[in-house]
Amino acid sequence: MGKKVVILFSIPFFLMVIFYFYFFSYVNKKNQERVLMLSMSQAKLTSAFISVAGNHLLESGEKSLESFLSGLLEREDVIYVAVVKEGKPIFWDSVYSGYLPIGRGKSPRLIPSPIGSILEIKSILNKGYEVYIGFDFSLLDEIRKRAFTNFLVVFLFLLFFSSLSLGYMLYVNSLYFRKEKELLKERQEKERFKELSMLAASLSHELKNPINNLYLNLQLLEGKVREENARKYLSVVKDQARRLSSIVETHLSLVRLSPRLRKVNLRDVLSSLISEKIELIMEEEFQMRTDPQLLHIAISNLIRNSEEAGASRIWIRVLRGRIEVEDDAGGVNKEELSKIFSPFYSGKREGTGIGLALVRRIIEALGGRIKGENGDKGLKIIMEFSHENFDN
Amino acid sequence: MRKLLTLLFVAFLVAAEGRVCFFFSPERKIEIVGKVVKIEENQSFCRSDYFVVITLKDRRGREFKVYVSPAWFFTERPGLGEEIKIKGSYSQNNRTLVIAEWIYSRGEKFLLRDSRGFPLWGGRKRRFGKERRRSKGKWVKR
Repeated sequence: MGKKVVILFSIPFFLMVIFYFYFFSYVNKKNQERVLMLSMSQAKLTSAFISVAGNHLLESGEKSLESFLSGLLEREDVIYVAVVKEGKPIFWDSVYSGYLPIGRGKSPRLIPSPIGSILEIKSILNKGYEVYIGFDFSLLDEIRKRAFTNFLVVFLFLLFFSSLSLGYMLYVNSLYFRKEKELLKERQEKERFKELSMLAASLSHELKNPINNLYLNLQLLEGKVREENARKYLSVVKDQARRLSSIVETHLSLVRLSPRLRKVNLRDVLSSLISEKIELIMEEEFQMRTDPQLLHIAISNLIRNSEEAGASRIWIRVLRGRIEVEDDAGGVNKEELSKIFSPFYSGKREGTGIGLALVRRIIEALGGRIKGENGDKGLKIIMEFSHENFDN
Repeated sequence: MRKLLTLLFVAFLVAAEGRVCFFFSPERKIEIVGKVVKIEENQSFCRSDYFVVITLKDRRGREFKVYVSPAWFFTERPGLGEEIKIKGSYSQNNRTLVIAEWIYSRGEKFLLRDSRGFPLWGGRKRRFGKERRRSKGKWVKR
């Protein structure tokens, strides 16, 4: 699943959020319009009632009308009242001292003010009288505000979770990609290892006979030479030839691995490796289905590697499904750690880069996995095997 | 007793008649620069509690009565004889009666109403059960 697919997959979520935004803002707007229409129709009705009542009161004089309107002002929702005759205000009163925003225009109308909207109703009376009443309409503003807040909260909630889902999918995707990349790298490395091993093996095969021949002739020559100094030089050459032969054997073993599995006691396999500086830690006795010779070679190689790195103490720890070899040589840096099992890579000046690669090859041939990490004091090599291969 | 009642009624009528009732109109605005002649607190402004009323004399000697705000809102007041500038809305019947929008003095402005005349101290009653917060007005550097 590629990044593009994830993004394409998440587009419907965002489209849904946008759709929600438009749909609910439309519904909200329509609802508000309906509330306003209802209020306006009620206001018109009130205006008609005030016209009738006002005309009756005017028959008893202006004061009756004024007294009626002053009484209205005691209501919680009335902000101002005013009586205008032929365009001139003759009586008015306002909850907000001196604030009387009456004006020309259609009625009823909404007037904005710092306390919210004011609904002004104008009622036309006989003899040129007009009555203005301003109602507190801030509740409508509150309804609008709350509707908008609710809508915004749900919108942000949806947006947040859509983004979260997208983020999560991208994260899972990246994990998947990383895993796939690691597997690919591992596969490529194995291929490379195989190719190099084949090359090394074929070279070694070609070199094996001449080296053996050389060694044999050196032995014959050693029998005929009497002079002490010449014998010393011959011995050095013979040692080097032996070393060459050993290197060739090691290279050949890279491809010639054919493990013979059988159940063995791990203590029996590993106890021959114990010395003053090598400690075997085994809290339980384990039987393991493995090739004891190959396992022995692998652990010996790890011990040799630690010794060459300057370790003074080496611990072989056996747990169920796991064998660890740890030293106190200080470990390696992170970059080196990722390469230690690569064939022909060596951190040492005189190393061949075969030792740890061979260990890896052996452990994989035995059905296990190997990894390296820096322990408390030095490098720790962890070999993991299937638990099924372990018995008490 | 009847005489006393009559006297009280007459006094009430006189007091009621003495009240000045006009409203703030954005169409009748005026700016006055003058010296403070008198500052009083009374109930002469239409249906209000105790209001601060400043009498101002401009350079041409005209006197204006400026209706400022309830006494609790306008506590830091200018001194007598101090020159101040006032913007407000005058009465449709008498140009010397003014409802103040703001007062300017010594580089500071005291806002009293918005440009449409809405009082910044709020009204005189509760709205839908909510008690209004009463906070004093302030002089602001301008």
